[in-house]
Amino acid sequence: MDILLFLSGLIALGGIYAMLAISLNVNGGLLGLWDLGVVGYFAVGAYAYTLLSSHDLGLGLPMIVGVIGSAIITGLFSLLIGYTSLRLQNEYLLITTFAFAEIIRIIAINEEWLTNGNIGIFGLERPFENFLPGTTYMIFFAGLVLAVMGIYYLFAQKLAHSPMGRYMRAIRENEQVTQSIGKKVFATKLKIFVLSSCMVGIAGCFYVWYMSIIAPNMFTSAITFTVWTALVLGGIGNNRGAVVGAFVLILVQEATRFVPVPTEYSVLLAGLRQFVSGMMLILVLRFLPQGLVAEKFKSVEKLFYFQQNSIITEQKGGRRNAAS
Amino acid sequence: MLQVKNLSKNFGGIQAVKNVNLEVNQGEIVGLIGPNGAGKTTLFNMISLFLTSNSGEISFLNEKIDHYTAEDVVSKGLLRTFQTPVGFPKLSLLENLMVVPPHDGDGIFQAFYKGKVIAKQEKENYEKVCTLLKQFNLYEKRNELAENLSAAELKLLELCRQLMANPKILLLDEPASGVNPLMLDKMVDHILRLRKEGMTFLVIDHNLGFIYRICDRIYCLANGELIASGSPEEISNNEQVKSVYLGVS
Repeated sequence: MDILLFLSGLIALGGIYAMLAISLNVNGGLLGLWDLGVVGYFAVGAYAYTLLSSHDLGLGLPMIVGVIGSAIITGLFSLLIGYTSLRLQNEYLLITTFAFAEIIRIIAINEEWLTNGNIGIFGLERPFENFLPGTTYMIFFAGLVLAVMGIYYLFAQKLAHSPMGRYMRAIRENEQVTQSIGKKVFATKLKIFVLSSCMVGIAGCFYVWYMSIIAPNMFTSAITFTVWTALVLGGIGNNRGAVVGAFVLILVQEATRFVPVPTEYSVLLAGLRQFVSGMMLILVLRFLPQGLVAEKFKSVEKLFYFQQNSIITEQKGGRRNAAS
Repeated sequence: MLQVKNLSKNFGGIQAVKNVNLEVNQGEIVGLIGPNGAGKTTLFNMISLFLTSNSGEISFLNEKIDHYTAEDVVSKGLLRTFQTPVGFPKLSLLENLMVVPPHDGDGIFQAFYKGKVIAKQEKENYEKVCTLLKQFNLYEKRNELAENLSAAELKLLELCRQLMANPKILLLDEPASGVNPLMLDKMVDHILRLRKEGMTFLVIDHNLGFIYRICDRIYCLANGELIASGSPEEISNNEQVKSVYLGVS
């Protein structure tokens, strides 16, 4: 049962990071925005949910209202950040979003009247916890996370393979040329930026349920770098890569817990996790620069079955290429 | 069709363009020549509104366009190409062109509830794109990534991409640069064919043979100022042009 509990927790945590990675892939992978504010939206979503639905320090609203509210509030924050920052070049967007994330964490530490500061808020309710005891709940929760992750994945896939996805990749490839064909680049970037952060905000609710507490030290920049590492590891620009990268990274990080070392080396072991993650990233970038799952899109002809229906037919046995 | 009056641009202490006057009438192919650093691309950037001018005005189809954005002016029919055609390297040729037309699918959630409308538009755009690719002999490579094309093919692809937006006037920035003579002949044929179909061009290039072949009139820019304008024959005999541009006194 302990193993089952551990595995359920692992799957749940992997699923949450996969949701983050998919959200970041929409923003950073497809659209090409260099966003280091992931943990900021994550924290805003988590705290917004807690303050809306917690009976102790919050408004005590139903959980579903808390989830929707967290998405809206995160969206509003990202609208403010995006409106002021998205006209900047990528390097400056990196700095601005990173600063935003740090500001959120510092506010959470210092505004004790709102967040209870470093002490945090404990004993937060989880959905359906009263109906399912002990280990069974964790298995259910892992299933819930996977289901929502599945919704994220399907949504992101549909978006990526739609004309909008093509348009987003065009912006990523060359903003100036996209402007030169009459596309409203800034408006599109802002919409996707807000969408992506709303997705991250909802993932924040799941993190609060997973941990059952919320405290500022849960939202350090390490989360942002973990999500980016997962995305690069898995394959930036594709949703399957985002999911694979997240689970591989969490699995490897958690697997280091089972490395048998004497007590005096336990601190070193904690550092080993970061070392292993870093080494994986280096090896992937060196030998598989496109990630474990390379970005690949079906050709327009295959997506819409034009070969059969269009007036122009393709010769059979044509050479395969990366776009087919 | 296009009028530029007393257009100027300076970058700090450097006067890149100074009081340039230029006119392009409907159906014309007008050339813009000049030595490196003369201000030709800066002028293009101002006309296509990628750069704001310091003074002067630009009119297109009898309407002042100075206050428009670069995206807005495209919908009026003014498009441009770039000196180095990179395009969208990781998109296939089909995708490079199909991204251009306005689309009901250009929205986050449209793909989820406008599937049939989008599929119909995709088919229409696909057929238009295939026809265009066939005209430019790029059809066989339609599923290749743009980054796999040669420099000359990239130029043709860029031309195709801008044509997908139904331009009334096309600003071509060095279309003959890096293009071999055989491809250049094809480029000339395409431009002249498009002119017959009603399109207007303003062309920058250093290849004077190419410019003289296609242009009705030519402007010559040097040190940000217009030093000569006229027919290809007049320009080729202009002493000031020879001195400044060709280094012949």
